[in-house]
Amino acid sequence: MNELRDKVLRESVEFRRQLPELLRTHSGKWVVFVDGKVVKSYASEDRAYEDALKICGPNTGFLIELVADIRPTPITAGMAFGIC
Amino acid sequence: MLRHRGDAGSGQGLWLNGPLVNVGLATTQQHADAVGIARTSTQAMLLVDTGADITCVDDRIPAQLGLVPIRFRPLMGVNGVPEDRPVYRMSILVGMASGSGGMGQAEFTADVVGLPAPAYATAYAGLLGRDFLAHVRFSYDGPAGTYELVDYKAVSTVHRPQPSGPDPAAKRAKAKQQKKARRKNRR
Repeated sequence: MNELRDKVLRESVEFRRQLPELLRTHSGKWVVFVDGKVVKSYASEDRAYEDALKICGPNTGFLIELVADIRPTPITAGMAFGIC
Repeated sequence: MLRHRGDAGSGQGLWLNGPLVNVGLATTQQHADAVGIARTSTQAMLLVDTGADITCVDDRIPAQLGLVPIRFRPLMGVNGVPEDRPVYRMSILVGMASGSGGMGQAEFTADVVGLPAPAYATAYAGLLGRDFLAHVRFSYDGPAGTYELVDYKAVSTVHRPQPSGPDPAAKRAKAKQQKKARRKNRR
């Protein structure tokens, strides 16, 4: 299971590396991203997830991402004040 | 209209413990269909947190369910340094009552972030954030110590409990036995 988790993390890193280019081609779309490539794009996350299960199979380490700017967010608002 | 009513017992109880909801966390039906095995689930107490963008749980829960992340998301902890955390697609099941008084489980599909176990003991295993609250109406009555989640837009899928009467085969056998006994008594 840890291997798959690491695979998803590697795909995530690659997705972010390609994000500036993907923003030009797939902005606002949900994508299934495998082996460093967009497999298909969708209007909703539900459809992307359902299709990824069919195309790639469950527990294969596919990535479902929204092509949009990624900004780090605090887990909860209190963290911004360092009180959680 | 489906509603989950929480009661902390008193205003002070709600102030000290917060709005806690006992939920079922499960693999999605789509995942179970794809794997070809029954869905796995576990119960967890989550704290409704209107200050949280995201819903998150102790990372041991998705591991227990055998889930693989669908992406990683950068989150900031107290030190302000972003850290990539895994996001899992899963179902959140909340016990809710309908207007007619019937009980059922309302199921919401959600992206849930896995976080390291808290450093100290808490009454909850995670947070129900605004991504979950986007589907329901949440009301909080501080003085009364009560709170409510209402699925007034019928976003969830409802699972009603099956009637728990005797199974048909046992019922038929019992009727046959009674008929035999009646015939014997007539003789």
